[in-house]
Amino acid sequence: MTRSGRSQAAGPKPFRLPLSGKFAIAFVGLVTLVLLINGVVDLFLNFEDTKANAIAVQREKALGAADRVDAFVSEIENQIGWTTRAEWRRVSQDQQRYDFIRLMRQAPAITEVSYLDPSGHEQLRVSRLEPDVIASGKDFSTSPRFTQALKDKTWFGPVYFRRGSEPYMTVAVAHAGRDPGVTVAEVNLKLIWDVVSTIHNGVSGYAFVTTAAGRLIAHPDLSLVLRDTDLSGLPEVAAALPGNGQARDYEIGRWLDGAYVLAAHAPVPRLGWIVFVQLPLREAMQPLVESVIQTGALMGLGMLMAAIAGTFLARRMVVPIRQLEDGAERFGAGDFSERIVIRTGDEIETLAHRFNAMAARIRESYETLEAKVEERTRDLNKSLDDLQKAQSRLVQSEKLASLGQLTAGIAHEIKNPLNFVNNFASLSKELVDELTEMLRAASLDPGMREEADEVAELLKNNLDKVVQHGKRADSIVKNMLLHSRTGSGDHRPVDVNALVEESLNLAYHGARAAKPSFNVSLQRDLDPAAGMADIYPQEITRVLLNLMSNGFYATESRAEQAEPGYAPTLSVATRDRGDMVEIRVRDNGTGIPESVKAKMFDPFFTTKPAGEGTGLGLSLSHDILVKQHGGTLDVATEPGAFTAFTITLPRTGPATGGSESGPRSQP
Amino acid sequence: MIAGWPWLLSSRPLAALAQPSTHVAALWPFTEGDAEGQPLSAAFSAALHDRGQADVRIDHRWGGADHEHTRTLAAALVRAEPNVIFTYLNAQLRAVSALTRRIPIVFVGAADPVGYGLIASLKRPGGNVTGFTLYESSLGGKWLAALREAVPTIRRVTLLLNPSTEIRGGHLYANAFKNTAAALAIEHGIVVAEKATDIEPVIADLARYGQAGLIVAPGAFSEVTGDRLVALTTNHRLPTVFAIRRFAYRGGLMAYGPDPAEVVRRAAVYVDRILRGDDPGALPIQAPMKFKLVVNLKAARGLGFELPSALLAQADEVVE
Repeated sequence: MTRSGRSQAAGPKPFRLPLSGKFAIAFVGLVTLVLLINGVVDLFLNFEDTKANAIAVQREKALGAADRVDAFVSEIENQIGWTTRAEWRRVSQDQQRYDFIRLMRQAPAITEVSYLDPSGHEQLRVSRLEPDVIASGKDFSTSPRFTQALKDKTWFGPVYFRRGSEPYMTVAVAHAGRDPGVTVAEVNLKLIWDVVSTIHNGVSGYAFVTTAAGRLIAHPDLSLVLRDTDLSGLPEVAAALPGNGQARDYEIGRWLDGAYVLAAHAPVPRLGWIVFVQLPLREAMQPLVESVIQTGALMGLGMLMAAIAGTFLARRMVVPIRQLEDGAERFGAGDFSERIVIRTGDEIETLAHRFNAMAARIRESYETLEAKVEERTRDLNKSLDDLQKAQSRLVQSEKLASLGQLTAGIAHEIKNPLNFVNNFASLSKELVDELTEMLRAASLDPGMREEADEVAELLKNNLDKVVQHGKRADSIVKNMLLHSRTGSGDHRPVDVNALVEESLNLAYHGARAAKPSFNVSLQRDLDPAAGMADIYPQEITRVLLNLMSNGFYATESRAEQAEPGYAPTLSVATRDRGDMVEIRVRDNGTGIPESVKAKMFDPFFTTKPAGEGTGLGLSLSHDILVKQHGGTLDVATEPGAFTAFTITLPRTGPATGGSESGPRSQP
Repeated sequence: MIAGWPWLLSSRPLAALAQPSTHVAALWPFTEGDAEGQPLSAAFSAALHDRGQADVRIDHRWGGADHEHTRTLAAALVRAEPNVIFTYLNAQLRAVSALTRRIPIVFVGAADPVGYGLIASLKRPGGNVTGFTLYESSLGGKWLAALREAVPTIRRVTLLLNPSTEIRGGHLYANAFKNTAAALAIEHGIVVAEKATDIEPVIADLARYGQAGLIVAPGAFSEVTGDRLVALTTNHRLPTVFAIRRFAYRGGLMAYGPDPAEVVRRAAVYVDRILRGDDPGALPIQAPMKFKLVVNLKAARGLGFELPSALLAQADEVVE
């Protein structure tokens, strides 16, 4: 518990992102990445495609616009061509003027037209704004309008601005034939506006024309032209200007208002002009925008579907994992009653099976362990019992050992004076007999003789009592010495039944000798199969005598209570118990009260009146049987009914011999 | 055409309700209901509507040739703070431009706006004024040449100028007129007419002289007194060239000038662009591209002339 508690406190890191979340993120992320890459590649290809398309369209438009501007100028040139016939200079001046007026009617862009004669002098000028001038004689012979026209047949002058805002260009056309004159027209380029403003390009695209220097000639917004706008600063125009070495005929740049435009251009080589066709980039890239929207929508849809699918899958995956987790938690809490039930048919189900198997195994080992613990506990209890028994025996032994020493000392000291008393009492008795003999021989008056005999008799009786009690004291001392001394004699195989029979006779006669009135019926139940046992016969005899005399005492005590119909009985039985021999001594005497039973094997504990028992009998018997012979001594009793001592002796003899009876090896 | 103005009156409260809507004021040199003013104002409104300014409130004001009245109207217009003010002819432009440097003004017909300091340059006016010119000063010579071609015997020609054409001590058209007269060896005279009564002695004088002609330069005065001039010159059998085209249709001998309706329509485009946020200072002054020669054969016959075929060949329009 403490271990698991610690691991809970310090072990798992704070819960951050659930597995389902990670899975969903990974899933959605992957799908998004794929979609993104796809979209980007798609857009890139689309962009190039759209750009190429738009450029191609713009290029076409630019070429078309250039053609139209060229056609516009060509038309003016053709109109002027009217007046450049070889014979024209020979027609009348009125006719010439009339032709010029007609020319101006035909070509509204021409504001002024003049005729230079072959020498380069102005012969006629017709203007919309000024009075006609005839034969002004102004010399243009060195002017490029004359020299260049003669050289190239047609000369287009530079664009210039009249009144500062009206764009004009001089067009000079040399006449046909030898020694030609030149017709010079001033063309108002505002009229190109009509051409340019009809060039439609997409929704908001348009065309415009610049000179080779980048000055605006024509634009749908006329005011830009009239403002004499210089566009050479615009990148798309600058790139198109000659000498800039740009092979490309399109450019993406910014118009004057800063809006991005896609501009294509085409030159009008005859004029050195450049026609631009431009379209706002946004319009040109409209298909791309649509494609972006489409791709974006697809990507959004894909992401949405990925999110839904990812969440669904993550949930599907996480639910069994949660079940697994719950199950593991239950197992962890020691509840093995339930199994984890997962039917996903995949690794998780396998894992659940493994968990279940593990739980079953753990449960099994729990049960085994419990049984083992019980067994061990039993063993331990038994060992404890044994140990306690051994300890009590040991204490008993110690007690006995010290007692034995004491007793041996006392007995030894008492025995010598006692011998004196006994011997001298016997001797005195014999002396009294001798005295009586002597007195019989002596003559004495009968009264006196009688009196002397009486005294002698009393003396003899007294001496008898001294001898009797002296012997008893001697017997006590002997017993004491026996108690403190190692078993006498050697162990040898003995016929158990014979030993028992002998002991019984000895006991009975002893009892009868001590008390002639004693009466008891003896019962023998000797098992013929009791056979031989390797024992110390003297010791066992002593034990049997002790037990039997106790039994006699008990029956006698009970008989004294004058119980009607009571027949004092002592039964002796032997039984063959295989390796063991059992001897039972049973009396139907007073029995042993419970209070006594606990202490009856203690040395010097006796229930007999003072002087009748030493209190060492049972203690000694127990030692002899248990410690000397390795047998047992059990008692079964019921107060007021019976007492039965059961001895079991191993046939093979005392297991440990003398060492067990160590304390009694002292003299 | 006349039905237009009750509509304007009735629409005024509506327009007042929708005050944030755009408001364009136009100041004309005609009297209300004038046969020339109405088509021009209608052309202006129509052009503006065609450009998508359908809900713009157009406030036409008619000042006639009366300077005082014109100035009063101009003050009222400026006080009303319209989004754009349109003026027709020079005096009207001056009256308005003197009162505001803020409200955009689009003009048609102005004599030398650069010279008067109204704009910085034709290319880039730079202020709140932009617009379209109708005539060029060189036309002074062109008119004379045309008159000479119609009546080759002519010896004396007077240029009748409007006071509004005066610039820097001289007069617009005057130099070109004088130079051409000198080149053609024609006696020339220049009269600046300020009142209707000024013109009759001039015409009578020329008629008495014989072999004489009159050139009526453009201007607000000419616009208003044109019909009277036609009548007077017809009575005095005096060949006259008008700058303003319509007088050729009304009995004048000839006219050489631009189509004002066309110019007004183009001016309406400028108004539209300014309403859409363009800076009037960035819109260049434009000149007309075409001038038309209108010849009235009936008037010629009435005067007892036979117009030469060369002139007829040049004529863009011939009134029979």
